[in-house]
Amino acid sequence: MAAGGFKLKTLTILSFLLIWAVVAAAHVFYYAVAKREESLAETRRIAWREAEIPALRGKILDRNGVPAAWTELCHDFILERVPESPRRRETLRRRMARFFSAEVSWTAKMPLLLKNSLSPEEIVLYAREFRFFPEVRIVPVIRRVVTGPPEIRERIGKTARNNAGEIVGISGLERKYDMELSGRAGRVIVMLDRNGNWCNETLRITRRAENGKDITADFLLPAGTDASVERLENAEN
Amino acid sequence: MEPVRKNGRMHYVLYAAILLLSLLLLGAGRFREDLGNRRIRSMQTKAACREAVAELENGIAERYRQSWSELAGAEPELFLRACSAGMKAQ
Repeated sequence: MAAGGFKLKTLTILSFLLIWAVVAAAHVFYYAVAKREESLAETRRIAWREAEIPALRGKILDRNGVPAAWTELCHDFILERVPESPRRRETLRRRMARFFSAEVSWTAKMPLLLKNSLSPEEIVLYAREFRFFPEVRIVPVIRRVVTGPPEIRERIGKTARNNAGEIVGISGLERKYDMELSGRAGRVIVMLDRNGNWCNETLRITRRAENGKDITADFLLPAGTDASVERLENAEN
Repeated sequence: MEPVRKNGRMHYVLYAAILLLSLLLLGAGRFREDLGNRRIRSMQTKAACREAVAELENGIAERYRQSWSELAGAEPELFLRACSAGMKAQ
């Protein structure tokens, strides 16, 4: 009787294990074979991202080759959204307090500028220190800088952003030579981890950015125009 | 009869050991090959990123250009990320 009971128990356990193995195998088959394409598409949708590499608009040079209009690239550090969990919010607040003296208001309108015109050292520092916080981000800021007296500035003309966010010439030489000055943005695809960080091993540049061409205008900037000084002043503003 | 049977068992053990060792070596070879490929791929990606970031150097303010060049050369992926915009799902 005891032997029979032991046999029954063994049989029950083995049957249970067998059913479990069959269910597990069926699951593996279902996801690896039957739902393979669907699962892969879903993974791509969740993890893969495409971003643009900006192209610099060409310079407008005077007859002597001195730049009268050029594109400047700088970087801002922004808070894009407030972390949902209070614990995470507190961790981020403490981390930010180490770098910024002003207290961040969570109720402020997002995105919130934390620091503008980052130096390359700051880019590295913030990228490392805040790598586990997808809520904050370093973003590129592209602006057109024009120098010279008002009449030359008027000849150069103005630029504006179109619906796609590209800088286009809307008046003067900027508009006339828009085709030559405009570059073509590049593309990059990358897989993100759960913190929104780039998995560098998956990074692929699918299209190289092409900067716009420089054009030489027939005007001459006054001798006193120092492009480097003007550039600094513009960058500070 | 007995020594022959023992000898036969030893053969099986030997075959199994050789098979196991071969599989291990095969696996190690593939792993090494994969590591090598990954390293080459990573270097190619780094070079492509460095090139892409170098294209943007002209737009960097004069005072930062030197350090930009040095740091972007060392960590091109990080700088490419800092320069990229319009992230969207594929």
